Amino acid sequence: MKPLDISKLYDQFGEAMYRYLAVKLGSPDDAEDVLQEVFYRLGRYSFRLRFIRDLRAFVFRVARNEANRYLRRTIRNEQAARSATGLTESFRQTYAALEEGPDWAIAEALAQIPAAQREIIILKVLEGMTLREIAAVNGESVNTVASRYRYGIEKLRALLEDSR
Amino acid sequence: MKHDTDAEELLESFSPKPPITGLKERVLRGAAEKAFARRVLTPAWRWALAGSSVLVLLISLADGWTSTAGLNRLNALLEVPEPGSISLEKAVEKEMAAYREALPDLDKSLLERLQMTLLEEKRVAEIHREPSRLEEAFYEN
Repeated sequence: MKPLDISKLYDQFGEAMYRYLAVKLGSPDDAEDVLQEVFYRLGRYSFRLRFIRDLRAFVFRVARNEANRYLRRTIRNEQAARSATGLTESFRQTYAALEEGPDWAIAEALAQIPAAQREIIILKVLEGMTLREIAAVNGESVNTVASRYRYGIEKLRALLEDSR
Repeated sequence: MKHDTDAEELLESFSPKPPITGLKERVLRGAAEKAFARRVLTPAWRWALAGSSVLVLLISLADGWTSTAGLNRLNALLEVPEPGSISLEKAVEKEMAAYREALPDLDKSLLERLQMTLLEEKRVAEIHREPSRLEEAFYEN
């Protein structure tokens, strides 16, 4: 049996993982470094990948684990500062507004909510993942993910109202 | 809940930017470089592994050979019959076969007596054989 083609895997999920990592890490450069590490790992798993049912959830889980490892290793002390400033910029660099005159306040609001909630909102609304898939990515129950999503959206709303 | 929907709708008004030029190539090249740098079996390690495997094989063969030679020498000193050496009964049986062939008309009871005699002779000879070199050395000291 042939291993899974890593190049094809990149075509399927690479860009989405990059965006997810850029917002999670608050830095497109760090996202690129971590994405290299992710694809190195996926290359090692390439035979096993054929047997994985939900490939998207799996590759995002690898990306999440690698991003957490990276955060623990390198920017443990800077994380708070980075998430407040870099995240908004990362969001602007990886996502474009469909309408003219976008309300970038949402990016600033996203930077202010807890990382666990932000991650779920990004994966669900911007990357189109289901709550079940996100639960598989995070290694949590669907109920936990759903309640975090709800709390996150409520906080976003409150922050947006405050900014208006 | 209306506001919640607003926040979601606002987020949905954003879409992913087009792929960054060269990002895929950089990521896959970086991953390949990492894989190359972290290989468990680098060429040097591969040679070292092959060399040590050959060495282990040679040592095992040499050990087997020396232990067999040592065992044979010890057996020779103790005069233990080597594997394959025939027992008294078999030696007598062999002689009897020769007698039977040379004297086919010999009586059965006579043959049995002859066999008993030969066996007895060999047993006596075995008991009165010369002491081994090890025994000699023991008595001399």
